[in-house]
Amino acid sequence: MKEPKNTVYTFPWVSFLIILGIMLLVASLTLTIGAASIPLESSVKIFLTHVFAFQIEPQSPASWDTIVWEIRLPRIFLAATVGASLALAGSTYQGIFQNHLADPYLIGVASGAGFGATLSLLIFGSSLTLGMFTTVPITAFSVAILTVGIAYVLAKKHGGTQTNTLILAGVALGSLMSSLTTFLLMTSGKDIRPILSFLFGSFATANWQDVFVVLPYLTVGTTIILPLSRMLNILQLDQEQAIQLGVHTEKIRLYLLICSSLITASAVSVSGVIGFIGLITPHCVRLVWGYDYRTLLPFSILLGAIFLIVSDSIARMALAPQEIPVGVVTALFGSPFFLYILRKRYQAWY
Amino acid sequence: MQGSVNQIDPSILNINDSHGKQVTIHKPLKRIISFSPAFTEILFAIDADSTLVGRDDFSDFPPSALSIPVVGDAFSVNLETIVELEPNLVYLSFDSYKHDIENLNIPVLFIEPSKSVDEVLQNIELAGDIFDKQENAQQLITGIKEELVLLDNRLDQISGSPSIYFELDPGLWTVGPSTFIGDILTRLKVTNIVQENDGDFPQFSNEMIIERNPDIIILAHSSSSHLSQLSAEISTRPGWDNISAVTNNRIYKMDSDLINRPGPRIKQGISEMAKLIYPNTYE
Repeated sequence: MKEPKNTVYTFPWVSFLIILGIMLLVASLTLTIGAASIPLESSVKIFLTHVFAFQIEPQSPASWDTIVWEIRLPRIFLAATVGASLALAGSTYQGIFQNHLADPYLIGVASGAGFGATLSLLIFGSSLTLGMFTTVPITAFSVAILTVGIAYVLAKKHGGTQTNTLILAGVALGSLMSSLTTFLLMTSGKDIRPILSFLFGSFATANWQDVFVVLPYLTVGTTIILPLSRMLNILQLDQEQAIQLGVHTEKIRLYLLICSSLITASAVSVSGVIGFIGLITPHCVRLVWGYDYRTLLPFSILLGAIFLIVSDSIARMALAPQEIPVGVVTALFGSPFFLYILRKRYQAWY
Repeated sequence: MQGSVNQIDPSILNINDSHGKQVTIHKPLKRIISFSPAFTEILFAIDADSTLVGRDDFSDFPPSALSIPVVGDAFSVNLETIVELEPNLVYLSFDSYKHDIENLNIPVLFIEPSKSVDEVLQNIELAGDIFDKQENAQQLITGIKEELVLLDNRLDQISGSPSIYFELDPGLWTVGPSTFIGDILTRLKVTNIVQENDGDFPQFSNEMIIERNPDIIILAHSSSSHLSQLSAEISTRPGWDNISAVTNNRIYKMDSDLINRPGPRIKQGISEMAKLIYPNTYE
């Protein structure tokens, strides 16, 4: 384990700006590809027309405008924000639990959201709206947070929480939620297609409302978690050392846990369960830029966004006009890639 | 779900969808996307298929439907392609994507799959009204009704009601009475071993099927295995050699699309089932 106290830390600004540039480039490129063949030039024009609110050249058909502005763009935004959210939550979880196997779904957020979405779809159907939102993200989010909350309360003992107990409580509750979901799927006798489509994870029906569900949590969560990244470094020391440094590990863990769980829940509630990205993105960052959380968190955000934008483009293009669930793509391409870097780089450490 | 023509303007058709919401259709409809294999078949049967510009992956009949672009399946939808096809109407038999498609200012008609033969006839009539093919629709309806009358006449002479186990899948998934297939079984005067309180699409256990001891087993698997293979597989299931249908060798296979899909081919489906169940009455 590196010892951040003894080394002079400088944030790798150059790499950060390069990765940021790559993210913007990938996002713009994917805006021009899709099932509908719209020339690059028209895509750019439609984008500029909307951004600068004036008509450049109204020659392209109205359907192109809808496709670029109401389907592709929110979809890319949503993939980016969900990818960033899952990667940030994943690295934070790995820090809180001092466990590199932790992913944002470790303590039951995904199974909770899945159960919430299932309940909502069975009771209200997929078309009931509450204000500008459908009921699915609302119930998915609530049940996800409820699950983590119960796990935390169960694991709390004498004013302290053992991280291992929390993981066990979360995993057990997660299994309970998954089995309840399966039970409902088997016995409801209703149309279970929308539920399966949620459980697979997909951006096929992304819209601007979805982006507005995730973005606030990501923004607020980032502004709280990033300043605490030095604390995450300290949490990696053993508890006694941390207390000697005057850090209330318990309180910080709780803040970080709440923030990252809220971020994950909001992401899952609109996109469904997209695996793997929260687990591997932080590892990719560690391999290149090292273990310091002050680097790890911001880079995970950018890489998570890039990774999910690319995966979603594959999801919508590979078998166009049919779609592959994006969760399948992340696992299909993510796991061999991860195994490769694991073989190549990690053997030095393990 | 019956359409009502606007008295003042005959080009406007108001239809109540399965949510009870009124959908206004402005005729003539030139471009439609169907997310229902049954509705797709109806369009072809009443000669309104020239309006079909997109379909779901399961709309695979008649074969000429296969050349129409696929815009989604049960688990996914390609909104881009839907918008690009510029439809006047998207017909959905499930409401998963209703909200998403309506958000793009495309009219959606959501009608749940028919749960009885009568509902199929109503749906054909509705399609006739939507596409101004009332005559073709009536012809199709008359043909199906004639088949039903013929069935009633023949089954009048039959006494007793054989019990039946209708298998959708080797996982022992079957159908209850309040389903489309359940309605057809009732019309065929057979007793479904699945009862009302067992649910609509329950998964049975070996024990329950052995206990209820069906006289006839009909397999409507989606696989294309031969009946001989399927029968061989069934006789190896534990305890099934005591089931009346197995000892009397009354295991049959049905094309699942003929009986599962509430569309025009039910005419053929019903007559094929009747022939399997009453081989003596139907030479």
